[in-house]
Amino acid sequence: MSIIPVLLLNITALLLSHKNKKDSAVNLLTLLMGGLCVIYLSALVNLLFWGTVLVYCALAGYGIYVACRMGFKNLPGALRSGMTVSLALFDLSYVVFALLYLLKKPLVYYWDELRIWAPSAKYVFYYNKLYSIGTNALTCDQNYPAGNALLTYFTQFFAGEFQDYFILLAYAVLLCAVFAAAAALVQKKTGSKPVAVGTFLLLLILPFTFIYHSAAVNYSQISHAYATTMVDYNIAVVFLAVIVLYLYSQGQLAYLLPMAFLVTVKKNGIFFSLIALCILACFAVFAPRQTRKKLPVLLRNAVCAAAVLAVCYGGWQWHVNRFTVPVVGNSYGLSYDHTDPAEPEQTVGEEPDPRFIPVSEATPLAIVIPRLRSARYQQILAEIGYNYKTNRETVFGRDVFLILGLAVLGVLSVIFSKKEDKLPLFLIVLGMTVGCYLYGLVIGYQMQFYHDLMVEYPRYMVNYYAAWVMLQIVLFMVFPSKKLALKTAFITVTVLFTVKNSVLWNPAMTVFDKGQNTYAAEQQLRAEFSQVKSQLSFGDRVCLVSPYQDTQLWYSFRYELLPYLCGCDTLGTDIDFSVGFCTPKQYNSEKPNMYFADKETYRQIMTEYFDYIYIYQPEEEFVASYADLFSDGIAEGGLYQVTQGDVPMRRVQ
Amino acid sequence: MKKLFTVETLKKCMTLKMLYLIGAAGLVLFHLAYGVWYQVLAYQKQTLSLADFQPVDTELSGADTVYNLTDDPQLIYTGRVKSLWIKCSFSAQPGEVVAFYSRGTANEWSADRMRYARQIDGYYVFDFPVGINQVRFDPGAYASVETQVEDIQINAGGLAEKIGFTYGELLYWLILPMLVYLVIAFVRYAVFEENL
Repeated sequence: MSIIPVLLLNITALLLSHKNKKDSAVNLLTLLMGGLCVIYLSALVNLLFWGTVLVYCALAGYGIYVACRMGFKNLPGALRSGMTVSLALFDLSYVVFALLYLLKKPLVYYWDELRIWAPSAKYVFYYNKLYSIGTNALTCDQNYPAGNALLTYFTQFFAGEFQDYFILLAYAVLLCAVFAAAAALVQKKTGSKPVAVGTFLLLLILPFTFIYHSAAVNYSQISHAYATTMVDYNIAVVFLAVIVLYLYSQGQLAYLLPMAFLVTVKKNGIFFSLIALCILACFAVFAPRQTRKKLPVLLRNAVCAAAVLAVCYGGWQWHVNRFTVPVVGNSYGLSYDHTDPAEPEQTVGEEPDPRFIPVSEATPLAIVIPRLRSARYQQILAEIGYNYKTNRETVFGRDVFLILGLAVLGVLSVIFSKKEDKLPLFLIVLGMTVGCYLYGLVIGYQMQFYHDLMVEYPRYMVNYYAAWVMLQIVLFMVFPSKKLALKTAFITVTVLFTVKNSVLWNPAMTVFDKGQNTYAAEQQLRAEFSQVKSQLSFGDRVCLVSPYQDTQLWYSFRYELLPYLCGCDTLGTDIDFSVGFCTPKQYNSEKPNMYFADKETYRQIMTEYFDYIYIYQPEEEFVASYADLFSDGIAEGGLYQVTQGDVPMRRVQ
Repeated sequence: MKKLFTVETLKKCMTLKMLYLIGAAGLVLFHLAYGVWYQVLAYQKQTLSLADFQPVDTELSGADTVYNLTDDPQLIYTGRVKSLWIKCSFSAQPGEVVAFYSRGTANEWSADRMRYARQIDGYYVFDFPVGINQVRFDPGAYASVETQVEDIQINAGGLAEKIGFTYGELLYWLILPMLVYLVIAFVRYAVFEENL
C-alpha cells in the first residue's frame, strides 16, 4: 500500500511537466515538499488527518482533471512523454530500496531511534495527530519538531499495521526524490545525460563512504544514512533540495517549500536553512543577469523566506505552548535521588566534574564571544577540536582532510566556471569552510546543556559534512563550463574509489545482507512485548517496571507497545516513569536513579496514572518493597491490572 | 549473425535501460553458473565433529560442548572450505556469531575477511569466497558461555543455497549499470570525441 503515494506523486508530476515544462523529477520534489508543508501546518492546528486528505485529493484531483481534458485515451502517451531519466532513476532507486526494506525488515534498535524518531512516527501513524498534543511537554520533548513523523505519515497514509521499516521507506522517498531533482538540475544546466546520471550515482552512494569502517557491528553504524531512522542525514538532503529547486527555477519561490520542511526536520534544521539562505543570497546578490529588477526581486525573496522561517519555527513554539498539557507537578513529595546515601560526601577542594559545571548563564552570544563561554563549553570545544584533527570515523579519512578536499573542489569549480559565477561560488566555498568552524561552535553551545560528552561526534558532524559534500558535487557539476571530460573523470574516479573502499565491496558488511543475532534477539524481545498488547484496549496507559533500570529496554517496550501508551504522560505530572521506585531500605543499592516512595504513595501514583503495570523480570528490591500490592506477590512478573481494591494490582492471565 | 556485432548494436546496448536489463540477466546467469559449478565440480560435503577444530581461548568441556574462556573464543578448522554450517545452542546470549576465513593456513585473521551468519533451519551458515583453506568460527563474543554443538557440516546445502542470491545484490544491480554507463560515456567523450 505504501506504493500508492509514490505512484500518485509520479503521475501528477508527469502531467504537471506538460504544463510548466519542468523536469518531472523536479515537479515530484516540489509536490512532495508542498504536500509536507500543508500537512505540517495542518498538524500544528491539530487537523493532520484532514490536511493529508486534502493533499491527496488535490494530487488525485489534478490527475483526473487533466485526464478529463485531454481524454483518457491520450493519458498513457502523455505520461510516457513526460518521463525523464531523472524520474526513471528516482523510480528505480525507490523500488530497489523499498524491496530491500520489505525483504529484510530492519528493526530500529539504536538508542535515539527507540527514544525519539521511531516512536514519534508510530504515534502519529496511529493517532492521526502530533505526539505533542495532549501530553506533557517533558515527555514529548520539544527539542524534536515533527518533520520526520509527518514524512512517514504522509508516505504511509494508506498502510495497515505499522512496521519499523515504514520510516525507512519514507526516508527513501525523500532521498531519492532530492537526488533525482539534483540530476534534473544538472541535466538542464549542462545538457548532458551522463553527467546527470553521474551526479545521481554519486549522491546515492555517498553514505557508503561516510564511515571509516572496520567491521560494522550494527545497522546504525552504516553511515547514519540508509537503514537508520536517525534524521541527521536527512537534514543534509533537504538542505540540498533548497539549493536545487532555487537553481532550477531562479526567480520562482518553489525553494521555500523544502526550506520550510528543513526547519521541521530537527532542532538544528533552522541553522541549516539559514546557511541555505546565505548561499542563495550569494547567487541572488551577485548574479548579474536580471540587473534591472534585482532589488524588488531580492526584497520579495527575503520577505518570503523570513515569513516562512517565522511561520514554521514560530508555529512549532506556538503549537507546543497551545497543545501540550501544562505540568502541574506531583503532590506526593517524591524525591528524585541520584546519590547513594551510604557514600561519603565529596571532599572540599577536589576538582569538580567538568560535566556538571553550571551553564545557566550561557547565552547564544557565547558562540561568537569567547570570554562568555562556560568551562563546560570550553571543554567541549577542546574535544571538538581534537576530533577535527584526529577523528577518522565520520568520513573516509580525517575530518581536516575532508575539509581541505572540499575547499579544493570548491576552488576548482570557481576556476572553471564562467566569469559571472566566480564571485558567488568563491563566497560559498569560503563560507562553507569558515562555517565548519562556526558549526563546531554551535554544536558545542548546544551540547553544553546535555550531560553527555562528544561520544557521537561523527553523528553531530555528518549532516554538515554531507550537506557540504552534496552541495559541492552539484555546484561542480552545474557551473564549470565545457569541462565535461573533467566532470566525467571526476565522477568515474570518485565512484571507483568509493566502491573500492566502501561497504559496498563486501556484501557481508552491507547493512542489507547481514544475518544477525542481535536482530534475532531484538525480534524475540519485541514479540514478547507484543503479547501484552492483546490484553489492552486503545488509549490504555501501562507502567513498565524494567529490571535494574535498563533504559534501552524501557524505550524498546514503550515503542513496541504503541498505540497503547507507556510512560507517555497525559496528566501533566512531572514524574519520570522510566526511573525506578523503591522504598529506601537498601542503602547499599548501586542503582543511580530512584524515587523513594513508600507503599501507600506508590499505590496512589499507580492508581492515578495507570491502567496496567507490566513487570519484566522482577528484581528483588522492587519485590521486597511492593509485593503486598500485587495479587500474586509478584511471582514471575507479567501484566497486572490496576484496580481500586485492597490489593490493587490484579494479575492478568 | 553479422548484424549482431555492428557498432550500431553495441551503441544500442549502451543505453542505461539496456545496461539494467543486461545487468539483471548477467546477475541471474552468474548465480546459476556459480551454483552449478559449486554443485558439480568442486567441494565435497563433509560432516565434522568438534575434535576437528583447534580450540583457542575455548575449552572442549565434552564431546559436543565448548566453553568460552575469554571474550574472544575461537575454533579453527584447517581444510578446503566453501561454506560452514553449524547447528548449536548457547547457554547465554552469545553476542554476534561470526566466522573468519583465510587463504593461507597460518592463523592470520582480519576483520576484512569475516562473515556474519545467516540462519537457516537452526543452522548458522557462513559462505566463504573460493579458495579458502582455513576458517575460524567464533562461538559468540562473551566469556563463560557454553556452546552445545549438535551438528557441523562443511560445503553443505542444496542448490538454492549454492546459487546464493543475496539481498545486497539488489543494491549492486542499482549501482553498477550506472557506473558502467559512466565509464562508457567517458570513453566515448575522451576517445571518440562524441558530444555527450
